[in-house]
Amino acid sequence: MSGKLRKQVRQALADETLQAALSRFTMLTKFGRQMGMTGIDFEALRQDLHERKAKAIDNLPALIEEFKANAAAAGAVVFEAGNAGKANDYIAGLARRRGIRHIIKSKSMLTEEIGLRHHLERTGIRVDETDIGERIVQLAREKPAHIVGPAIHKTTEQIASLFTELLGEQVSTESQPLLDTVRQSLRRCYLDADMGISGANIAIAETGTIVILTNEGNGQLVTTLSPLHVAVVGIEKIMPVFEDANAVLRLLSRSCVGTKMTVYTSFITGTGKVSGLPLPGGQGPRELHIVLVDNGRSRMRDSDDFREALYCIKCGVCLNVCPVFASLSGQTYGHVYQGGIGTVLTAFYHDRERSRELSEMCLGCMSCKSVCPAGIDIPGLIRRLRAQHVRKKGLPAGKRWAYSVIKHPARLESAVRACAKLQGPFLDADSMINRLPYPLNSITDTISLPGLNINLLRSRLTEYSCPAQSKSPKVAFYSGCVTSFAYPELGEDVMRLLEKSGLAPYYPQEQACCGAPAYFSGDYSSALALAQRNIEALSSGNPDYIVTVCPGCAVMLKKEFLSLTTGLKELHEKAVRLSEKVRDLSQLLAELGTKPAVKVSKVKKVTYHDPCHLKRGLGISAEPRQLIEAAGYSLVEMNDADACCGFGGDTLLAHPELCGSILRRKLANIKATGVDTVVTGCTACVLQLRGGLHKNNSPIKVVHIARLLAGEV
Amino acid sequence: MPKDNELLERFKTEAALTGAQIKVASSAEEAVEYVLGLAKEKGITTVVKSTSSIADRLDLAARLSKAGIKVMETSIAQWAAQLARGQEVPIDKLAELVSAATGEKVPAEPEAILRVARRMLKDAYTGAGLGITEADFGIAETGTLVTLENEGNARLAAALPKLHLTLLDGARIAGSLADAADLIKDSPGGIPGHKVPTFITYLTGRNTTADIPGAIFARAQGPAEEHILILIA
Repeated sequence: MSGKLRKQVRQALADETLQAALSRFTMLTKFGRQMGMTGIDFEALRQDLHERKAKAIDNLPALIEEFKANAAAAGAVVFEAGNAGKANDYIAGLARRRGIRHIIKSKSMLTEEIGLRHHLERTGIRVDETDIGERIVQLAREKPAHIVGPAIHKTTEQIASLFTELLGEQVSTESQPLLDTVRQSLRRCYLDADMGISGANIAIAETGTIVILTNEGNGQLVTTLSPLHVAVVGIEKIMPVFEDANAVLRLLSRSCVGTKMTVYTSFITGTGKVSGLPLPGGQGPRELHIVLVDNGRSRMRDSDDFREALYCIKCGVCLNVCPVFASLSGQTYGHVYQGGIGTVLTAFYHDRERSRELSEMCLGCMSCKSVCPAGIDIPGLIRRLRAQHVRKKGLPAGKRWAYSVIKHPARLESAVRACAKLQGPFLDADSMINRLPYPLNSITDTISLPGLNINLLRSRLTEYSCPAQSKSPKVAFYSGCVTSFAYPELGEDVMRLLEKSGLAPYYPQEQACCGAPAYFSGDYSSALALAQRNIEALSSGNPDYIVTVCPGCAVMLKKEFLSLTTGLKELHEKAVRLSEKVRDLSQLLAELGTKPAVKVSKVKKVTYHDPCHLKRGLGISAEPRQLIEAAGYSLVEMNDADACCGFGGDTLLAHPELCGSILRRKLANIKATGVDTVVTGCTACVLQLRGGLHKNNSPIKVVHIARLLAGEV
Repeated sequence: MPKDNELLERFKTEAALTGAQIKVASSAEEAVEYVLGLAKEKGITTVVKSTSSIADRLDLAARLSKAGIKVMETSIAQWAAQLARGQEVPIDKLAELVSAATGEKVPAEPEAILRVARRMLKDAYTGAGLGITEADFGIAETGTLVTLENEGNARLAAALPKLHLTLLDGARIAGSLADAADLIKDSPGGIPGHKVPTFITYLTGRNTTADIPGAIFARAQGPAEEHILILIA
């Protein structure tokens, strides 16, 4: 846990101007993406892009050679830079040899990554950024807040004061005249400069072409007006053919901004020529230098765990949907790349330790994964980062102890019983815990916790043994820790509901924690031990279905056990069979088409919160809504029903304020519906939402869908 | 409906959605009248234009000049030809023309001529009220205009003047990005070693910025308006 990062997080959360800018930004980009996704088959297009990127990265060494040959044949000079220093030195040396005084630059995250502008400025050359957002952060001496929108955190007043200082004249704080001033001041830069530096969004090997995208038009001017153009290109941008570039173009702007295409897409191949006259060049640059930068990319390519990160097309949509980013903005991340993908890139390009700290902020909500146009499993990359750290440095003492307890159900139960006996003084009239001693106070500062129930679920369900024979489908109930220890009544509701639905439920007594806390912390050995135990416990009665009320557990059982057991032949086969039987409760009821067990006599309004692991982990969002309405309730949709509630075991300990800010947005959306009951399908979400509402003395009730369907609330 | 017509309709719909203003002309005269009308309405006094067979067919430069509007060719060869009234322009003659136009004594050396001509043209682009360029084809799927060139003047004439007008042959519409890539790869680079032309620009709508808070603003750093004239004659 890092005190410095936590302090930076607190600062960002306390900055009201920033928070207001972020909520505007989140709203705008959400609308943009909806627009961008209209009329296309996103899944098919992203599958296509994913495959093309995978192929390109697989063949990268050959593609680099092909690109170099074709670019050189067209008149470009290609330089391969192994690291930041070599790229910077090459470009600075070139500028010195050509006697360059003034450079104009279009936006390029890679040049930020290698610190090119500062390097050139140190040699005494004037460098002006020309993307308006990048220009603003240059003048503010800050780092970009967002891959695509570097200055999303700035107000017009702040921007006007930066240009007032630059130009030495009072600049209007009204948007339109401010923009006019900025444009005019940039125009003067273009006409004066003698060198242009750009990045490239794509490089095409078959023709030696670089592709540069801008909406403002600055990319056209930077790459044409000066006699010398240097394009700084990450090697991972190289793709084999034109049609590969199209795969990027089809999704890049749609994902981030919501338009079908970026306004200017510029394909540049070598240097040009005046037609029809014997002049030695054209009106564009006389020289084009393409600096291909590695700087850790080959290392990433060589690692099976992280290779996928190279598929990133830097569209920024993962930031637009990230609840952590929405609370902090990009500058809190500390280096150049932000959000989940930035956490991974930071490890390879900048600072492993910072990356580890950043990885603690990820709640695993999978929003990024669900929108990534290159189909990158960003939460999976983050988990692998954590696992890599655990392999190298081991677990911190607290976690080591905690996982050694959860690994052994008997130990866990005695620990829970001991806590349940000791918790008395902490309980309030609602049996909630509002304050715990250090270090757990960081949790109770954000949410109230439910008291532990000394009468554990396992002992309540001893009668539910596995039926030897049954005409109705046999359903094994996997309860998960939250139900077992905090909400045992919910477990009893589930059994009743399953019976009323004509099924034959039973409770496998040998089940244990699903291992999610250990797995997502990167402790694969504890997770594997638990997977093994659960696979045996849940397979033994040969159930037709295994049903859960915590989608976090369901994702472990259904998906992650498969990856944990890879290579363990017999166990893996069992895990595969188990996986096929696992259902979320609402999924099973919808699939079997059971009649509602209970129907309310009087229509009552409720709202529904989509748990991250149910909607994005298992792809289930329509089923619970149908069941709620079939039971006679009227559903009032909240805004952003599928936004994360901010629950995250480790994150809650490391960054309680962050989780609190994500929770506050969720609670505000719930309150805005005006209904007094929120239904959800995940016990962890129930815990988080109830805890937050209780902390706020709100009368709004949180009901698990199993409870709702089992009996009137 | 014939396929070309479908593509054109789709192109028009998509281009209009991007914020471009579109005019379809079914005769040369209608096209010329439209350009003259646009220039008049916007108070245009100077036009920079790049090589365009459509403009040649319409005799557009002459018609604009006749209406009192100064028209400057931006391809250096065409610029020189315009001044030399169609006569051959060897290097020493070109040096004279550039010297006369800039008031700067330029030696008859290709390097020097190109340097001074570039500077002269930069001023022309920025000072012009309207840039007229011709797109090689449009893309129906996205409402995009595609321009291929080696010289670099078309992209400057499209980006620097206050307004931009693209001329487009209504029969030249590709269906999709994939079709566009095929067309490009089939067009010769024109320079040895080039498999495709030096500069290929896909222009889709009006330039914008979201970096100034308040809205997404048009006219970020390029022209204030994008006009498209589609000729179907």
